[in-house]
Amino acid sequence: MGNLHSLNAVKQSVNKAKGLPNEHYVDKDVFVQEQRTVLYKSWAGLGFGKDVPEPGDARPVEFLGIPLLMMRDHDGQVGVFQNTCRHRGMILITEPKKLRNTVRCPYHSWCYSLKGDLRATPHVGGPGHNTHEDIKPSELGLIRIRSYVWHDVVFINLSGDAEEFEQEHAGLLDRWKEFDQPMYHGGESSSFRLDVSTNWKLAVENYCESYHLPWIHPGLNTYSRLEDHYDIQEPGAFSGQGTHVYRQLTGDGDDQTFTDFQGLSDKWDTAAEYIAIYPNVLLGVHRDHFFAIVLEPVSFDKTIEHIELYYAVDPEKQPEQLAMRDANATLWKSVFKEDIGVVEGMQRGRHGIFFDGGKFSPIMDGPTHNFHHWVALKIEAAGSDSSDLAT
Amino acid sequence: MDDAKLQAELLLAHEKQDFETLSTLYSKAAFQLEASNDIDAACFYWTHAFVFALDADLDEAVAILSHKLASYGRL
Repeated sequence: MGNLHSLNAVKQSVNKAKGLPNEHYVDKDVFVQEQRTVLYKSWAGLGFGKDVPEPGDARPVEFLGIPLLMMRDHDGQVGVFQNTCRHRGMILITEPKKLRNTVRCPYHSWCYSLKGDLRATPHVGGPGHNTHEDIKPSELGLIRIRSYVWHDVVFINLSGDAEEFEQEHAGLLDRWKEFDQPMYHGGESSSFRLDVSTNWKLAVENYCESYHLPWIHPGLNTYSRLEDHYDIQEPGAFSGQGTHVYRQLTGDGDDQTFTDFQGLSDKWDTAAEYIAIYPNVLLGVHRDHFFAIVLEPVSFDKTIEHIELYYAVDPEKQPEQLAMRDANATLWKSVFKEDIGVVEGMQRGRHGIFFDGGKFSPIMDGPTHNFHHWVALKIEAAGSDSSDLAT
Repeated sequence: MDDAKLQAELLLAHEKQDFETLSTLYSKAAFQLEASNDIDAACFYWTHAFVFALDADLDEAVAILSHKLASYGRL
């Protein structure tokens, strides 16, 4: 793990700071330590509500090797649980499925409700005896993982001790309060993933700066120049970039556009914002569509980007816009693919033993440094916290 | 009780993951065993009937079977 000296260098002002040392990108042990100090202790993105769209839907999800289960109960609420029976630790659900009202362990048939309550312990007291004085169902429900759903992104706090999501992210919730309204997933083409050979943090760092746009996304240069962008930073929470010149996609051969979200202020006629909500969720808002990217850290040098696009109107009510939604998804996919070379290149570059973490542009790299600073503080805070996650 | 026929039906229902049929078959077997005063065996089968009723979300069967098991102190 980075020694205090190297992390002190990260915590200086952007003018003087160095970036996180190489081991935070290329060392397997540091990756494991960061899981516990950064990802477990924060509200991390796990998945999407659209993956369990209806009551009874259950989907197993792995997060940093931990088997979890997303379920939607009959009240319509998404819950996240450890996907492990409380009896002998058996994995409960191995593939997405529709449950009726019960999660039944395939091993000894212990049964749980969709809210995680233990409902049956067959033969636990002997054949035909389904109770035992030392088996207390109220103490043996599924382990619920603290979760929060915002804009259909399912966030989890594994450590259980982060501030409430609405407090932790009050700044961004307030900044984007106009978008606090129904959004509808765009359908099959609006869902895609990119497998990238890079540390998850490099995907965050690249996303939240506009400095690279003219070189990596030259298609923007004609209508969204570097000077049309502005930095967004909230210390300890999020950072990113905005543009003053968002241009709506139009249909082929006509001026048809996507329906705008309701009641937006004039700012959003031509603005769009792209913010990384720490640690691992990247979001984009526009007057007529929204996207979310959950970065899944697979290993120190592998990340899966799960990307979903949403619109103001249920696509089933606008079938005539299918081609436009497909085109929009294709456009964003091409933009995100343009970033792959540089994030993978930075990952390879971090093996350069003489690289000292790097030097930030005081003007252009504020959002990136804001993230490095947050990571450094998280690591230091965990260093002084001796609590064990599992106790 | 025709054991061979019941076994065949149970195996088929297990293969099909037909929890409603499994609950019905185990319950039928249990009631027959109760009638012949083999309570332990009956409760074993009622337990299976109960579990599959839970899995199949058969509220009425769950209520009946849990009441039956409770009446013998097995739930």
